[in-house]
Amino acid sequence: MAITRSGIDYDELIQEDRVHGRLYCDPDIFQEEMEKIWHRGWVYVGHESEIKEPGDYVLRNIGLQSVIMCRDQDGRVHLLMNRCRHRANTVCQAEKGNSMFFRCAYHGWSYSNKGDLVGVTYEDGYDEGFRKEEYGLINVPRVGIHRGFIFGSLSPTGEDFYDYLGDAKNYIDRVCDLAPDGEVLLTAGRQKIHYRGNWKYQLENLVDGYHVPFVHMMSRVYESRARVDRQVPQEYGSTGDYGHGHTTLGILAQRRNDYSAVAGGRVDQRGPTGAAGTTDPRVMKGIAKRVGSMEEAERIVNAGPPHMMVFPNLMLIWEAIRVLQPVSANETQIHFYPVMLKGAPEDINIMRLRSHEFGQGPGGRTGPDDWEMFERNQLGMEQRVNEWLLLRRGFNDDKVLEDDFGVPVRTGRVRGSELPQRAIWQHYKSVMSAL
Amino acid sequence: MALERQEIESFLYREARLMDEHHYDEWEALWTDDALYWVPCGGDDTDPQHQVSHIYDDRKHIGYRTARMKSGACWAQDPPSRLCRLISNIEIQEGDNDDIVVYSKFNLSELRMHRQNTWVGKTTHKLRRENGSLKVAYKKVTLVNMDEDIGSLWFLL
Ligand code: FES
Ligand SMILES: [Fe+2]
Repeated sequence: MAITRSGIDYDELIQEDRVHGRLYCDPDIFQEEMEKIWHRGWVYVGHESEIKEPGDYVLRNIGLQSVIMCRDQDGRVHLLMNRCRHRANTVCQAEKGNSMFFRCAYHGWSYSNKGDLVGVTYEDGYDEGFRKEEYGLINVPRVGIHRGFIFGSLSPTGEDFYDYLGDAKNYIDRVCDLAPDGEVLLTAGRQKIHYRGNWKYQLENLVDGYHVPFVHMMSRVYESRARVDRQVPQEYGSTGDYGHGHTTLGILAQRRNDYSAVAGGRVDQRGPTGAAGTTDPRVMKGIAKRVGSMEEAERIVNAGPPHMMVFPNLMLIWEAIRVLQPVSANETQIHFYPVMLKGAPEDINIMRLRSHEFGQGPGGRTGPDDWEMFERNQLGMEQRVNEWLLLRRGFNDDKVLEDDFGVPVRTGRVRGSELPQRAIWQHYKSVMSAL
Repeated sequence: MALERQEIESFLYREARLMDEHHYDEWEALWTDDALYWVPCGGDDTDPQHQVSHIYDDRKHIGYRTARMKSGACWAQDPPSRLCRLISNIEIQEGDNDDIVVYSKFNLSELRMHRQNTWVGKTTHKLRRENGSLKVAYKKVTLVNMDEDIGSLWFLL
């Protein structure tokens, strides 16, 4: 039995081929998710390129908690809780900026961007029992960085960062390897949207191959390369379950390309792999120079960008990353960042921006139709007639194959197999059932 | 100049009506071939070649946008938003190459899914006379909440 302190039996709510609607609506479950998934576990926070210079900071969230992501004078990255140690005012209001200090406006306490309390106004008013050293901003206890991607965990103990990241690491590597310099830049800012629905709709939807030909049928009309009737073949490899809740559409380059083509890209600017700009000879030459041969560069570019959901909040998709930000049981934000390739010619990165805008964000041609589905989903969920959601597509039709990286992974066969959704829920159950 | 002002105001009001009433083809016909339609994000003075925008459409992509709106498969507009906008604070300046630069403000109410959303912002039009009638060569729409979390932009702004 997996009844937790909250009294919720996740074994009952999450079965092998179905889940209960309460999981998307119940504020108590949302609170438990915050604690167990978003605070105890690892979540993606931001990218090093967003705070390139000493003093740079951006304001982010871990779960619902406000966190300052900043770089100190020594070049070290910090995640600081945005909460004054005096009486809990926020010390940082701006979304981003450059500052060596954060000064609380309420009574004037000042902190360095390492978090140290460096200034207490009218300090002689405190007795000797007060020690400044004990009142620095709280550093997020655990920070993990992989190739510039910064993750944090509010729990001082728990799963090791690289154990958590698991095989998703290879896919982050792939995103970076597509840049001539082997690094990506998230310096072009972000778009933010909200929808009135639970965050797990997006979690499941990013790796939902079943909805693509329907919700995104208009995207396909634009696609000059793929005919409208183009279908993803039914073969193993179309979906992947990497454990830890990390899931993907396409474990093999070819399967990913099929999905990219069906989902559609910016018509005139999209290469055969859906890897905006990376098939450009100048980019490929840059990659080849870094990796040692054109053959290897071709292999990387041909395998293209990933289409992966890194549990619980990082989405690697085409020329973008998206970040999931829950707000409440029935409200969610998504943040969209175009991924710039370091070392690529400027026109390639500009083209990637344009491709991003027409694809992602509030004016893009994919996301808004998805959120519309999520909002309708939430409305449907309010009807408490039969509260089960069926996730049985491709049930018992999967096997273990080696992916592009030679890693064995469980993969589904049927078109739009719901293997990733089942995998997400089984992982969710194990996390939520912990005491 | 007085006559021109009246003509320009009428042009903006007509464009507003076409947008409110989802007359996509007539709206699309207002643009010049080299048009640029820009809805920035993250700041009014961002460099669109280095900062992401919400919309940055050349003429071809304006066409893709309206085609999608008309397709019946743009679920974010199924059913379409009910729109009503006021255009005000119109200022007219001379631009380069005989273009007319027009600054204006809008206040747009959008009713969708039983909720009423308010969109407020300023618009810069660059208008050009082609074969006697005014066309839009450039339009920049700066939303007050451009860098907040917003809803879908699949109606016309
Ligand atoms: S709350 Fe920050 S100084 Fe008092
Ligand atoms: Fe989708």
